[in-house]
Amino acid sequence: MGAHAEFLRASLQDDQLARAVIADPRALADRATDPKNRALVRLVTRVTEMPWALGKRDHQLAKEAGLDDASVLHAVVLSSYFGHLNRIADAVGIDLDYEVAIPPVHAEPATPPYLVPERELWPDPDLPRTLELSLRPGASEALAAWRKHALEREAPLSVRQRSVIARAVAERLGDAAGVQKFSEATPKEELENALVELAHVVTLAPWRLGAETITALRKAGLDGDVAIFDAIAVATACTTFSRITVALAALARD
Amino acid sequence: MPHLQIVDYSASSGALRQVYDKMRERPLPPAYRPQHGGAPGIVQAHSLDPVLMPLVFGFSTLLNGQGPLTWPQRELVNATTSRLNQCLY
Repeated sequence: MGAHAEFLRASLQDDQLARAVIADPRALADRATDPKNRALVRLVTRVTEMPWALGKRDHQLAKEAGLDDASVLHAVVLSSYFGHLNRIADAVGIDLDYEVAIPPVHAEPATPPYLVPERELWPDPDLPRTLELSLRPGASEALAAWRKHALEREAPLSVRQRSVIARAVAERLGDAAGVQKFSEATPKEELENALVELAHVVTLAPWRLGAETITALRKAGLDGDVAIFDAIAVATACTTFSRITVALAALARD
Repeated sequence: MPHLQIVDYSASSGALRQVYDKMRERPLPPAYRPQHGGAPGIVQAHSLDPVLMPLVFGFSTLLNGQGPLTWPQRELVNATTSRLNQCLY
């Protein structure tokens, strides 16, 4: 948040909105002066916290605020993409390397995890959609190449281990199509259990990612930083893939 | 202190060096250049997988380099998401 609050400040030549984001984004969804900004913050908060709870009403509210379909899609995909970056940054443990005018707040590990949806709340993947990723030129292809790299290699992690992670993330985000695709990939041994635990924290409590995450994977038998990074990067990528799928399916339902 | 190894530009070789060089050619607005002059930390965080790095940041260029959302609107999305996920970076 430190870097992007700074970029937001720089883009507006004003720090008021950036300070409000750092202080309390939920309040901003109600109080931002610009209706498009209010709608964006409301939409992105939902995409980040519970994409499975989105519905036609959210799409309608965004439209009424002046955001067209392409803008709503842009916000959904961009926010889902940042879900990956946020999690990688915290798991690897990088330092903020920009000079910032607004100090970011530190993570609070005691924050309760994001909610996991009951099965009956999962959006129907077969419902006709109003927003498709293909409406954004190049996005489907770029995402497919990333997905192939994340899920279809045999090293360092095996395809089976990748599938275990993908299934665990999909279950926690209410991604019915993802769970169906990796239906066989339930954990069967200790390392696979550790990969599910990784997927759990990555998806639902990114503020808990850190040194302990790495130690747990080492203990479970992942050998070396390259393999550990691979496991984390598969999980973080899957949050992006499943989040986009779920959000776009959910936005189409009553 | 990072929890996993990070290979920066000066320590890089082979495929990773090539990827860093290629990413340097991307048009990066001044606001996005860290003062240390190297690749931003979030790019370096991907250094253990030189194939993944361009896939991830190619997607970024696609999303952050053009509309319909304006630059401030894109950064509002990015900052809000990062704040909710409690990502310090």
